[in-house]
Amino acid sequence: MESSLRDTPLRRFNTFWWGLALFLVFAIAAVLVNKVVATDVVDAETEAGKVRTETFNKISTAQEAELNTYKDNGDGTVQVKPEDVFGLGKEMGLLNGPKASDRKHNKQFD
Amino acid sequence: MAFEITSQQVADKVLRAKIDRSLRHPVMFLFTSGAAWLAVSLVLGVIASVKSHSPGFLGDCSLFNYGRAFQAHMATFIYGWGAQAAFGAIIWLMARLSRQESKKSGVILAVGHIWNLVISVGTLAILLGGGSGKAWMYFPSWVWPVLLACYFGIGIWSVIAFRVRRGGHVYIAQWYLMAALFWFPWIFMSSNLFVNTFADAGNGVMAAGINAWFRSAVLFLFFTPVAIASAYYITPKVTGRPVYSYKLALLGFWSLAIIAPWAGMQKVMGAPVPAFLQFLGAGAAVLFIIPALCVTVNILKTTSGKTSTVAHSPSLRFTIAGVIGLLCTTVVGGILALPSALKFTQFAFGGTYGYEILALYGFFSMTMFGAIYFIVPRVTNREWISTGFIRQHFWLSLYGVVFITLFCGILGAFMHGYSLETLSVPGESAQDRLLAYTVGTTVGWVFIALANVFFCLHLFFMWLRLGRRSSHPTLLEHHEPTLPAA
Repeated sequence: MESSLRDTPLRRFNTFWWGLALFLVFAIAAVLVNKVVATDVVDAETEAGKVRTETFNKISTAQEAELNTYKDNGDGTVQVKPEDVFGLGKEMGLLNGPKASDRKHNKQFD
Repeated sequence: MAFEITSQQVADKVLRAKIDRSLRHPVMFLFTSGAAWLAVSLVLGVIASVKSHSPGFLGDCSLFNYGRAFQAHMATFIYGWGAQAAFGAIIWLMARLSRQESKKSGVILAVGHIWNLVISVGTLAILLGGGSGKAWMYFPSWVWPVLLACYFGIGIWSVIAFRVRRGGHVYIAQWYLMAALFWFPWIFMSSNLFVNTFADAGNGVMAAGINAWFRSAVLFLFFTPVAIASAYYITPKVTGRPVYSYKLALLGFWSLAIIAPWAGMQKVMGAPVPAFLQFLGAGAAVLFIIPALCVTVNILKTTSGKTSTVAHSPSLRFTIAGVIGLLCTTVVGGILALPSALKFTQFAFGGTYGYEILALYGFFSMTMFGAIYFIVPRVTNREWISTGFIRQHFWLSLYGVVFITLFCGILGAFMHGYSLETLSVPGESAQDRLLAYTVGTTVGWVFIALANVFFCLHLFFMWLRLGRRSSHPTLLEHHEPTLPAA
């Protein structure tokens, strides 16, 4: 069996730390590339996105508030929470699942 | 003729036995937990596939809605099964080729447990709705740094084994293993940093491009070299012949290293990503035929005239099937990368998915099964129990992957894409036309799931050391019935 002059504790120790260093080199290289590539120029898409997000949040908050409100509309109707209506609908059998129709759709496919 | 066993041969045998014993627990742990994740992935794959044609299946269970089941299926396939099978093969092959016992088996075993814990929590997070939705990076963003640290804890010992190897010769398999060991952290770290960490401050479109590159790079620069290394080790060992051509192997290795890193961006063809990157990606995907052909020709020429060995040896049979799978992956990948084909398949059902399954299962997994059938008897000191189980595993796997490739990757993708492109046809019609192909894909997954019931059970029995105590390997021989003498 051939001897293994390479196998020394120092060589094993070195390899471990060189391996770890290589991981760090990959990370540092990625950070450097990002620094070089990234610019301070604000792109229109990001700015438009901020406005859209703000509008979305405003609408979501308003909807959430509206969904949990009870009030008299003054015209003989009242506003209630949807689950109250759906609960009633379920009791009345109005929310049963759709059934397949026996009518043909008459669509022409190629 | 009497065989004379020299002291050199005895010492070699003792060394090999020591290496196998030193790696028994980590290798068996990685293989069995990988197989368990494969089972989980296949169940999720069947669920996702059934949902593609019967959306009401498990419709009331939010855990298994299509988006979550599909993400969890792919994540467990890649990081649960694929990565762990690769790690098991890497550490064993490198130890054997470097002729070095593992001195850190306990560390590898402990880190392997952490890897599995992280995959478990990550998969649960995906099923609870915390998946990222980014292809092949499906886990929540905290998962990747932990996986990377675990990878270091598993892989570094193989690099050390290579550095302190006995003898001066570096085997072909070692080139590929070392390359895979270095390429993985580069791909995994840089892609995840740019997609998950820097993306908020940068360009989201480019993050999609990097994600497309990441999928291609993990496939071509990690799974592929590990599978090729396994094929270059097992084929000469089982046939008892040297590798057919060293020069061809050299050409194959360097062409892989030069061509493969450029592939990937063709998947975002038409997106506002620099056009040269998209066409460079398409070109590299087509040119990948060069390393694939080098490997295929080299391996098949090594086995030429040894048809019965290929048929009888489970490890060689799976390995050769995997190598042919590499060639199929390359041809299908090349066709799908053409801009004229991308027009149809880019946004269609299954174009990318079917190709990825062909690559991950038809090529990589088949080769890894070959490695497992070779390695496990050596580390457990037991032989496989049932040739029937191995046969079922092989044929059902083959049927399954052919079904998925045909129905999902090629026919389904082109037919769906064609229907979507034909504007005179209602969208509903495109879905109707897809139905047969989605059902075909489910049948393919059922085949693969059944195949792996046999594989997982068999491996589990081996893990429990219930294998045969015999010095004769388990061979898939056909015993012809002998007729009584007339």
